[in-house]
This record gives sequence, structure tokens and C-alpha cells, in this order.
Amino acid sequence: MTTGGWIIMLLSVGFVTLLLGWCISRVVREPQAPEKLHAHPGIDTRDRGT
Amino acid sequence: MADSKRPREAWNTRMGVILAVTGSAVGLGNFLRFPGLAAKYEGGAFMIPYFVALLLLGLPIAWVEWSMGRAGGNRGFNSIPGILRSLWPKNRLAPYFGGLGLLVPVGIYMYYVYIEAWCLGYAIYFATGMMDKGTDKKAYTDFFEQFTGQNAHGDVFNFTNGWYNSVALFVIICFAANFFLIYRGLSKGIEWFCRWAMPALVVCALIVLIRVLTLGTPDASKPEQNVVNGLGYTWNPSVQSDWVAASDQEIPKLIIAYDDALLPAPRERVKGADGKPVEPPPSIDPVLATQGGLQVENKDAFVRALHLNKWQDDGDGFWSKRGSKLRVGLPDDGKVRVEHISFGRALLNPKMWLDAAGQIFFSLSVGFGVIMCYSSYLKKDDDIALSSLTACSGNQFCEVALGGMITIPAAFIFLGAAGAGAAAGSSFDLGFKTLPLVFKTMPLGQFVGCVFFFLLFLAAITSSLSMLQPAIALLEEGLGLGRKSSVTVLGFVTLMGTGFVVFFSKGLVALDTIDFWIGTFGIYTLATIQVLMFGWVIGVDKGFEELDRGASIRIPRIMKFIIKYVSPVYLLIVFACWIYSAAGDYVQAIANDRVVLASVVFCLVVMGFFMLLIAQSVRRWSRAELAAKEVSP
Repeated sequence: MTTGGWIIMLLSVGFVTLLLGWCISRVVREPQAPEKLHAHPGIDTRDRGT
Repeated sequence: MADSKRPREAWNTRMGVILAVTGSAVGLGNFLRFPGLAAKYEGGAFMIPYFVALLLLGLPIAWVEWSMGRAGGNRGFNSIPGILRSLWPKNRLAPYFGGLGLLVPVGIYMYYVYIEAWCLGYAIYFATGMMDKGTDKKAYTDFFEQFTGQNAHGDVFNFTNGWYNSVALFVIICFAANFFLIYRGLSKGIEWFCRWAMPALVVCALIVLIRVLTLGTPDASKPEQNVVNGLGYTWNPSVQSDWVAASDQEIPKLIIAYDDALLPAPRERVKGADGKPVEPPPSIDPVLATQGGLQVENKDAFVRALHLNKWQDDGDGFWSKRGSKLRVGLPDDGKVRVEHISFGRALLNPKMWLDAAGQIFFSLSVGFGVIMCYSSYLKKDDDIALSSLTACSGNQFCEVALGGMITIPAAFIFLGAAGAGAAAGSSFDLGFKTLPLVFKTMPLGQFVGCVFFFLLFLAAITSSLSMLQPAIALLEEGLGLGRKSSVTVLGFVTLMGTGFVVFFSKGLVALDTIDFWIGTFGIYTLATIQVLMFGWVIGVDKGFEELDRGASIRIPRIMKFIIKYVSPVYLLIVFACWIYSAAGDYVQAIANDRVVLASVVFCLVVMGFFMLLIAQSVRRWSRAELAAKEVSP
């Protein structure tokens, strides 16, 4: 196996392995947020806490 | 609008949908076709167009499918016709484009379950020791042809050799397993199965990989056939040309061998491309050799030199002990030309770019309609950007890091460069004729062979399973059928199709024809529709709003330009080149072969059936929308 062969194999295999590892770590670390219930942004309740 | 009374199916977990999409993408091509291509174009050069195609074609189209699917799902549709109709309401033909989103997965399922049955059969035969056919490759070839019924149409149903020697039994098992899981539904069937099948697949692949990488030099009399050279055979960055190619290191050795062994006056007879004599070995400058090539005058002497240096002749070319490839041709002037193609020049080979794009495209399962259907079951704010990237990277990992390290190196170690090279051109040849012989020769081969074919079976069933869901979705939401009725209708249609493919098994002609017209032509067409619709109908800005909603990662904005301009052009060029190079023979075959004609007619009938279903679904959806408007004006 030539030096070029080693380099290309390690780069290719390393790239896809690191990419998968990074993706999975992101997916595992960020649990899917529950469906959000947004308030209507335009509504002013005029509640000033008084 | 889908039936609002029916509880909508949904994925249980985010990892579940990622594994289901990855399972759909990972198939036999990851373990058999990719390594064959990498070896054919000698890894190094091939990986450049491969990753370029991933960036410009595979990933963008995957993001397109995920976002269109989720957008359609949020409008209440899970079938491709329903999704396209909801995304392009002004075009009355939009749902009919979605007919391809039914034909493609269902059509592919019809023959894929047949191949899946081969894998299951081989796994069981290895487990029971029935695959021990000796060390003659012909025995494995004969067995494969007999097992799959390639000798005559209807041969699969000939049980004179024992029912357990026919693929028919395994087809029935695979067919039943697929429909059992699809009947259980999205989360209890597909997701549940993929959640254990995909990790099991990776474990199986790692077992086989460890076995291959620890083989060392199994035959002491052939020290060159070792693991490192096997990997080099796949990954070394030199390429073959139509003429002759050898790596920088091989060319001087070649000339030295030629000079030393045969030529009485080598210094005068070895010439550079400019006709001037080249300095004698060992001082031949590899750079000079790579710039213009060398000419040698006597082909017979040259070939004898190759034999003397143990280069193996496989009828097509010569293979060095280290796996370099050399094709000896005889040009008009009668001289053998030894031409080295540099890494840079190799990248100008259009066929390699075409093959790399095709491999990425089919490997990621983009253009099938499956991803769109799967993502339609996501919630409005579920992430799709990272999920799509994770599914793609899972597929690439299986392909490059596992597939690229197992099959071809194993074949090289036991069969040498010639044996591996001869098998690399055909996935079926490599998988079902060559590798069984390799496992026979390998220590612990019976166990490893069983694990390998079980791995292929898992890869196949997670793919075939996904192919049924788009049609089930239409039957349920378009016609209002229950799960049992939908499964029954689809079961009948696919049983007819699979029966057709299995019966017309001579030379696998029906399989090959349907694979061409549906599994290739149909996919390219559907993918083109999808990417044009996203970039030009929905609009790339609006499409990216959909992609960004709930996204865990920010997709680079350059992807807007790529999706709108680069991917469609890239796809259309690849599609046009593929039609130019391959379609002629298949069109001609329709006129010449009645089975080919019948296969094409069968595809058209199935397409007609789906069009009728879509027409009925559209009528039903329109009525429901009208009724909804009347209730709430």
C-alpha cells in the first residue's frame, strides 16, 4: 500500500467516522424540544404588574 | 386533506426516524457496489468525485426531501401525491407527478425482496454448512445460478433438488416478514425493527471487518496477498486507463523487469513518449514516465516480462502482486504503450464522475420518495437539518468505513489481484460467487460468511421495508382504507410483481429490466422533479425557512445557491450522460426480447393502477376540502 493510499484511506474513513460521531453526539445531547405553544407576539396584555 | 378522524401515525423518537432513514439508505450497494467502484478507479482518485457528489447532489437532495416531506405532513398528508398536491396547489397535475413516488419504491420492492431472499438463504446455508462447495469458483457460480433460477424461466419453482435449495422458500419468508412489520405500523413496525436491526448490522459489519483486518498473510507461499496490500488494492491513488496504467512505483519496476529479463539492448529500445531513449533502469525517472508515458516495442516480450514478475492475467489486463493494474493494448503502430495517468489527469475521466454521482445518489436513497414519506410523520418543529445529516453520515460510514474495508480487501487476500479485479465489476459476482469462495478459504469462514450474509439481509430488509410505506400512506389517506385493507391491497400488487420477477428469472432479465426503468430511470426523474420543485416552485427562500424551523444546526446559506442551480444542473447532466450511455441497449431490448417487453408493460400497468388511485384520492380530498369550507366559510 502506498503512502498516498494510506492518506486517502485514513482521510476518507476518518472523515465519515468523525462526521457520524459529531452528528450522533449532537442528536443525543439535544433532546427534541416538545411541541411549543407560542403566544401571539402581537398581543399586548397591558399588564404592568400594578 | 387526509382523513382527520383517523389517529395520525408518528415516530416515537428522533433516533428512531434517523435509524429508519439510515436503514432505508444502507443496502447491498454499500457493501458490494461501492468497494467495487473504489477498486475499479483505485480509491484515491474515486473519492474526490465521490465526496463532491455527496456535497453537491446527495446532501442537498436529502435536505430537499426531508423539508418537503415535513411541510406536506404538516398540511395533513403522508403520501407523495398528497404532499406534492399540498405544496403545489395551483398545478392540478402535481399529485400525478407523485405517481412516481409510488411506482419507484413499490417497483423496486418487487425485485429487491428477491435479492433479500438470496442474502437470507446464503446466511442460513453458511450457518448450516451447506455453502461448503470446495475451492473451485465454478461450483459457487453454478450454485448461485441454480439457486436463483437463472438457467430457465420458472426454474425457481423447480423443487427437484429439494425445496430448501430453491430461493422460493426464502422469498416467501422475506415477503411475509416485510408485510408483518409494515402491518404493525410506523412506530411499532418500522421504527421498532430499525432500532435493533441497524445496530445489529453495524455489529455484524465490525465482526467481519475485524476478521478481515486480522487475517495477516494467510498463505505463506503468497506473501504479497496480505491485508495491507488488500487495502492498497482498494485505496491506492493510481488509476487505470484504456491503455495501460501503473503507479509511479510500478512503472520503473515494469521497465526494469522488461529490460532485465528480455531485451538484449534495453537502453536503446526503451523510449519516452517523445521517441528519445530513456535512461536505463534503475535510474528511470518516474517523473519522466508519468509525463508522457513510455513506449516499448515488443508486446510479446513485454507480456512475458509481466508473467516473469508474477503479474497475473485475468483476460482483461495484468495485475501486479501489489494490486496495480495494467492493461496491455496494441495500438496501430504495433507497439505496446505504457502510459501512466497522473492523479490530476485521472480526475478528468468523465465516467468516474458519472459512476461516483450515481453511487452517492442511489446509496443515499434520494429520489425514492421514501425520505419524503418518512419525514411527513414528523412534527412541525422537529429538527430535520441535523437528522438528515445524521442519516446521510450513517450511510456514508457504513459505505466507506465498513464496506470499503471488507469485501475487496478480503477477495484480494485470498484470490489475488486478478480474482478481486474480475469480481469488482459486478456486485452480484462479488457478493454471491466470489465472497462465498473467500469465506470457504478463510479461517472461521463459515461463521464470518454467515454473519456477512446476515448483515446483507439486515441491510436489505431495512431498505425493502421502507419501500412499502409510501403506498400504504396513499391507500390509507387517499382511499380511506384501514391498515389491514391497505396491507392486503399492496400485498396483492407486490406479490404479482415479485412473482413476475421470480418467475422470469433466466439471466435475471425481468429484475434487470425493472431495475433499469424503475430503479434508475424512475429515480432520476423523481429526484429531478423534487429538486426543481423545491428550488423553483416552492422557492429556495421559503424552502429554507422550512428547513430552518426547529433546526439543531444551521445549514450554510451557500446551499441555497447549490440547491437552486448546481444540484439540478449536476443531476440533469448525470441523467443525460446515463441515458446516452445506457438507455440504447435497454430500448432495443424491448423490441428484441419478449420478457423485457412484458416487464416494461407490467411496469406501465402498475403505473396506471397508481394513477387511478391518485385520481380517486384527489376527488376524495377535493370533496373533503369543499365540505370543510362549507362548515367554516
